[in-house]
Amino acid sequence: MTRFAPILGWLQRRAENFIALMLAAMFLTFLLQILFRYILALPVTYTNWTVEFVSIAWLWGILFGYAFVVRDSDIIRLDIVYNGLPLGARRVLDAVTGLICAAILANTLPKCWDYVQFMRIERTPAMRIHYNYVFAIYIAFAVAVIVRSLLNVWGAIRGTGSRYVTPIHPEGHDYD
Amino acid sequence: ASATVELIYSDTVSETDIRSQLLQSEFGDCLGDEFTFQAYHGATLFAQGTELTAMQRGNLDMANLAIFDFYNQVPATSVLGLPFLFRDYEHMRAVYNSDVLDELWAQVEEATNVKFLSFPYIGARHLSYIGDHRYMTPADLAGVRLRMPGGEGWQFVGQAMGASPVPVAFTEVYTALQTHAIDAQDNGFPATRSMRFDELLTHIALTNHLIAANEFTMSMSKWNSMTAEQQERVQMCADQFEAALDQTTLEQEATLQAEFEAQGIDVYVPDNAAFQAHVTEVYMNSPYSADWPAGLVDAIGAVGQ
Amino acid sequence: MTDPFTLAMVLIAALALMGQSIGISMLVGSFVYLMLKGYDVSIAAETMMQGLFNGYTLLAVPLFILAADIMNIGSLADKLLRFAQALVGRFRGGLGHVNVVSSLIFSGMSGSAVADAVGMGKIVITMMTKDGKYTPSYAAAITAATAIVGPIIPPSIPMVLYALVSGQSVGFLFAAGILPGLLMALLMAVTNGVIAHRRGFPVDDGIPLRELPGATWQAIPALMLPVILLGGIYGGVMTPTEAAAVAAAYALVISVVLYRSVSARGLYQALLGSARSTASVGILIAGALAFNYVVTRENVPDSVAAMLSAMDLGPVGFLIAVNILFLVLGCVLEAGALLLIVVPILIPAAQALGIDLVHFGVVLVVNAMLGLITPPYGLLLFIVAAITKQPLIPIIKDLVPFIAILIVALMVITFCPDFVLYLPRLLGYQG
Ligand code: NA
Ligand code: NA
Repeated sequence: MTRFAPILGWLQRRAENFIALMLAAMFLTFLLQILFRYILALPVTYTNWTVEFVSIAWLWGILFGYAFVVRDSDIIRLDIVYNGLPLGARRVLDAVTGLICAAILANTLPKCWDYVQFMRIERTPAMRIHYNYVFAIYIAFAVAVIVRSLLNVWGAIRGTGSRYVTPIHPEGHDYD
Repeated sequence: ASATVELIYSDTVSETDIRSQLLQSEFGDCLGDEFTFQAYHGATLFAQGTELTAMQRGNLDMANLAIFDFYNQVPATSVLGLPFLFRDYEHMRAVYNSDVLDELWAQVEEATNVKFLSFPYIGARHLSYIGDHRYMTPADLAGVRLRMPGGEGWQFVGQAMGASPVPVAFTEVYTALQTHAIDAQDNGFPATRSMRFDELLTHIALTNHLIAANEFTMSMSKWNSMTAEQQERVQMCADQFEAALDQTTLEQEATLQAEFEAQGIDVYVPDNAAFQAHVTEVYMNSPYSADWPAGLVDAIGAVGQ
Repeated sequence: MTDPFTLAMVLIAALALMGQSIGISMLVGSFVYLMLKGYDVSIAAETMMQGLFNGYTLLAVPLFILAADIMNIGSLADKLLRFAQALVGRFRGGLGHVNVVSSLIFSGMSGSAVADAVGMGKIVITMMTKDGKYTPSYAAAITAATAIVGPIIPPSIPMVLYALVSGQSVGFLFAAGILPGLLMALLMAVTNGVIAHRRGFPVDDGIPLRELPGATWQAIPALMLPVILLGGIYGGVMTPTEAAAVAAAYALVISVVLYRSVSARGLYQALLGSARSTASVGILIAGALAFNYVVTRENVPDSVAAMLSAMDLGPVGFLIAVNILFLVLGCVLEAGALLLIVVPILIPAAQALGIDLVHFGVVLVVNAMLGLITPPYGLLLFIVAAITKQPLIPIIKDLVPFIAILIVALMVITFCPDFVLYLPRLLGYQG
């Protein structure tokens, strides 16, 4: 795995660039909307794409961000029981729950793929984008969550997962 | 083997709305023992605008749709969203009862795999607002922030009326009016009352710009899975629902108008001919009219003349 | 409640307790329910994506997080902190009071407690924890607790939903929320004061009162922010969601132009950090959206509410049962869906028992909001955990006194209709 580390690190930074850019775009779009609508008083045909664009950015930001940018240490968990257990037990739990999640997301993926493709017949109201493109992010999200779950299972079996070695990511408190 | 036909229904109307009660009493109860009718209201099962695809995917059996829901799949349907297409309720009902629209419905059923059962009347939309004077013509609406539902078709209606349309979610219209984020809205009387907009409004212009009927529909796969007797039963109950909703809506509109006037709201008739001329011109110069079946607008206008 | 539903519930609880991502647990549980019922499993993905795509009011969340991050990297937060310290620093728990007051001021921002909590909430948390005077868990706890006042004091999206299903006046409901909201805020301020003394939170003696004018002068640009936002929203210039973008823009301009304290790198880090927090919170909302379908399809709220209506409890017993019902159902349904589904069933029973419906609405909304901060599943609880990067247990421990005092407030609100209806009656309500 280590020889892929530079490539993975590079991809990781590009994914981070992407969601930072998405939030910046959302922010600017809202400012444009205020400018168009209230300051220039343009008709809504110039501004109705703005709401739609930020809605897409919000959907993509969450699913893409969770799949590719959110670190294991950022994920919101109910760690009340988990944190009280010894390391060995935590490894067993991680292997079991990781396998369950990966299996179910993989098993349902074909049907969800079918739904995404089906939505080609509908288009968004303002920008007239086919919904299969808008919702395609689900496929990337599901595949990434499956892969990450399996990597965590592997890490739990070998005892090398980030949750056993360094409890908090070194950058965890950079920009709180 | 279970003999009953299960019908799952979803809409966006509140469970306590008179429309939901009539749906149960006139349609659901009418179906009898052979059916299990399960209705979900308030967009709690499927979000607004997603019912059509849910029916097409076999996840939903029935819905009460708006005409704009069909626009993506059959652009020609937008003709029925043309403001001032119908002169009044009687004209609208006469058109739906005639054969003028048969070709259009056949085309939609073919393209979407959805069965049209009936077209219950849900009320006329009027321009209502907070202001200090009457708006008689489209020119008076220049710069007025008129709330229209989200979606291009709806927004275009507001624009064609001469106003500056603003998309605001239905549940947020009250606060938007209160904070003056919008000046006007165009819901019919029943919704204006049930959402309490009348607490804030000062004027209602009786534009009657959209005489709205819903499309009471069933997925074609469900329809085809039923026996001829069952289909007949469903059709009969759907017609009964339409008749009951028509009558209730008309009664409500008459009572509510009197109540609004008594509350001190200025209810008046603007220059609707001027609005109609403006709207027609805007639509004819828009991409929408390119999709309309040739001569249909005139054929609709000719009904009952 | 059929077997597939029970199984899905058990699976979600098990996965979450065993340390899995809560959002993914709910999504997976929804998939399992659909599989066992033989339904189309893609409905879970569909409901999740359609819900996010149409969740316009929630768009304020990432923008408020960004605004707070920019205020933090620029020195706006520092100037605000110095001003607040000069003003209330000599009092124990002073910044805790600032937190309560900021919730009151910003209660009108979005009408949604979730958006309000990450709005000023994140800024105040930063101020409280910056010099180590308050533990991050205490800052998180008081922020979550005070944020629920937002939708009780008008404007309020949940109140509008209640008005829709109950046929009551929005205006009277809004008026009825004011005194209960103030009462809750007052009780939380008292709680904060008591905790500050008992735990001995340090006070500032470093900033003498004579420095107040200087600190105020320095903080004026930052203090203008609420003025601009509230003026913009109530003046009809912008919607609350747009206001979040304006807040971020304003913070950016002030930081760059006035304080010259923002680097391109700092701005990038703020964008990335905000986007990352948004994604970790967003997946919880996404999972809850998918599971909402399951709960609705199973008619769970229907059957529970019908059971409750049939129990023949009398007004006091009925109201207590409703309180409990909302706290429990709040674990599996978001507040809006809860009101839309349960209220129509409860209204006839409430009416039959002679309970005033405006009063009932306030009781229900307060309940629904309390559900946002009560464990095991409370969305606000998770959100403050995410923005403070703290584990849940210490936050929950620090929340206990606030939840206790809020339950006292809930009892007052529930059993003193005259208190709740005082303002509506002044405005002409005949109830
Ligand atoms: Na509020
Ligand atoms: Na607060």
